[in-house]
Amino acid sequence: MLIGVAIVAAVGMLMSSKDFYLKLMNCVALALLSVSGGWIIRQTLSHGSYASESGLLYWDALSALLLSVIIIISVYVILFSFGYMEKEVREKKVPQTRLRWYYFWIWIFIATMLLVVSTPNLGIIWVGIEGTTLATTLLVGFYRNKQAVEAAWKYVILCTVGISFALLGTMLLFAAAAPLLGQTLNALDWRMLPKVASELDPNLTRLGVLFAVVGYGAKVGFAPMHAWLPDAHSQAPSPVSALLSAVLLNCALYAILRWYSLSRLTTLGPDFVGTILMSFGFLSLGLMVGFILLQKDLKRLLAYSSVEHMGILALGFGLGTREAVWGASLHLLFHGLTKANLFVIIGSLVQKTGTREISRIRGIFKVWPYTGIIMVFGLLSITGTPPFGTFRSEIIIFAGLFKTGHPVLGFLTILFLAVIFAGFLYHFLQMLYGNPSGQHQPGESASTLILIIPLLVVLFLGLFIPQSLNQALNQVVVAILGGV
Amino acid sequence: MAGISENVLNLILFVLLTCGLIIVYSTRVKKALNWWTLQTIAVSILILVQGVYSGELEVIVVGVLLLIGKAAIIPILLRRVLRESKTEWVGEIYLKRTSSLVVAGALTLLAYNVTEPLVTLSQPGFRNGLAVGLALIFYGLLLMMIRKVAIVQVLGILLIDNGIFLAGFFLTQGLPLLVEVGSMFDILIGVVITVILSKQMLENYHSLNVDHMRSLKG
Repeated sequence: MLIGVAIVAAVGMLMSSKDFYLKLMNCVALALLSVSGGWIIRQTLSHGSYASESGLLYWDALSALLLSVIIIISVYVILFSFGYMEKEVREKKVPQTRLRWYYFWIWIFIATMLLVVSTPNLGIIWVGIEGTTLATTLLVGFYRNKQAVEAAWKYVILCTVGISFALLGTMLLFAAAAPLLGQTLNALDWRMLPKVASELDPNLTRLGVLFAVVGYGAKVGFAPMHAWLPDAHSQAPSPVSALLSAVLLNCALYAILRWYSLSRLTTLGPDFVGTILMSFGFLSLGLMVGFILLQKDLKRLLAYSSVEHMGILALGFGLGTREAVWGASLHLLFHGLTKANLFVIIGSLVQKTGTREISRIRGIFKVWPYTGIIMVFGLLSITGTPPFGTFRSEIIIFAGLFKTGHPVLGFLTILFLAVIFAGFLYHFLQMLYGNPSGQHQPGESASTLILIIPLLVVLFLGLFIPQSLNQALNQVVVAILGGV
Repeated sequence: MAGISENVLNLILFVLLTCGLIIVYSTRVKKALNWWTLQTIAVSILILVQGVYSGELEVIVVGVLLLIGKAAIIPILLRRVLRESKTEWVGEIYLKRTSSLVVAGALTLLAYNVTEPLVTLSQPGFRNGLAVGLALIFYGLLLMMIRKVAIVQVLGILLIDNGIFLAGFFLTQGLPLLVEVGSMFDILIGVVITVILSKQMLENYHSLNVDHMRSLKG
């Protein structure tokens, strides 16, 4: 039903490039998506899990978390796309007739991500993740200029190679599980696998898990496999960057988490993948410090910040204590909301100024005060400043590091984050204050402020976590770590 | 493996490995593409024969899909791009054809070495198959590193894909049908998308040389 909506919507987009038609179709599809998705999330959280009649689709609390992130951010980003793409057409960067392809690929993209979080089968998850790569390639290269083509090419080649390793990993796991569960879909089903996890052949499983984690890790953008990420994020149209950064990376991380929670039960022990994840996480965090400090390109700055936050998530999940996983799940939600907002607001800023270079944007408060306010909120949220929710989630993860006897790691992590905070502050303050260059056209309507909604949610959740969210997150923790 | 005699199996594996080596050795893109096509046909024959012997419909379906989807459609698409771009040379960087053959030979030995601990798991006849599969994956990676024409990089990915497919076949007789069809569909769409991208590359750069694309950094 859910995925059907997205695919039908995608095909529907192709019918016409008329502005009115596209907007109407998108709104109808978004409404259907939210209603059916919301219903599934409710069912899942109240019963613990929810399966479709055929049994091919299945959701638990972790899927529900990802599903809500996908739906919320899709709605936000597509609604923003209307105005953004209209302006691009007016400025003749994109012909009107190509708009339908834009929405077509966006909806295919959403459909593949829904497939990833809706299937209980590790094999189908692979098909879905590879599908997301293909659906986004032409979106990354949407402007068809030199840089866009270069970014799209790097993206599709690097990610496809990375992901093909994950396929090899899936096959190795299947080889280990098939003698126990039969040569059917069951042998890759993450509902069935835990039952036989301790009997899986250790050699095959170890190799399989390694390939899968590294393969999907390339797609998450863990350093040192992050080369494609800043290129793709900076060249894609800004709404697409928002989707890539805030949702797609999380979906790839979701695939790793499924492998992670499975491998905890095998003879490899709970720490095998955890240690790999923590190493990737720490490396991503550490390497990004330099890139963020020295960045000249606004959108690349945000892209590197995404790598950094994926690192924080990997640290939290990899640590594997209940609190850390709880915090990381919360952080996944907060990072999604914040980063979607930042890409959207920076996207409109880049559109208004016509440049991505930080040094050429000055005096935002004087010219566009509303945009300035949103950017200040975004800056505080992305760097994890209290009282924003990101502070809460990050501090829980770091507390976990200290508690489990990683004081050096914890100290370095906090140090890195402090430097990154300084870097962000430096870049943003430069843009917010100073004298605007003559090319900046003043004038914006107060309706820009609507874009701040996700940040207000993050702010609110930083001050107060409702009981229902707390329970849902506890269910997510159980879904990842198993047991009670 | 029930059905296929050791001799036939070894013959097909020999063909697969040789095709892989010749692809690495080729200096003309078109030739490399032809050899890849031959290799894919050999893989699908292997699967079809196995399917007929064991009488499993699923395996036969996979074999037929492989033959139509990968061995027929993909080469047609790629050849069209080659004709439009007038690309002939594979673009050797870092390694010339002979030295790349030596490296490929070393990688084959490595593949046999790596699969050693896994051999005890499956029947003895599988050992070669698994090692050849892994060797093809290595060749693909090598090809992507030492050649700079876009289409040859796609060939590298396709070679990796063949290798993975082969390794999977010998490990488990293939994944469940749904996953197998899904991954094949992904590869097919992937090639269509890279073809579209290489056309855009031609419009922007007037060649398929990925060396031109160096503007994004830092």
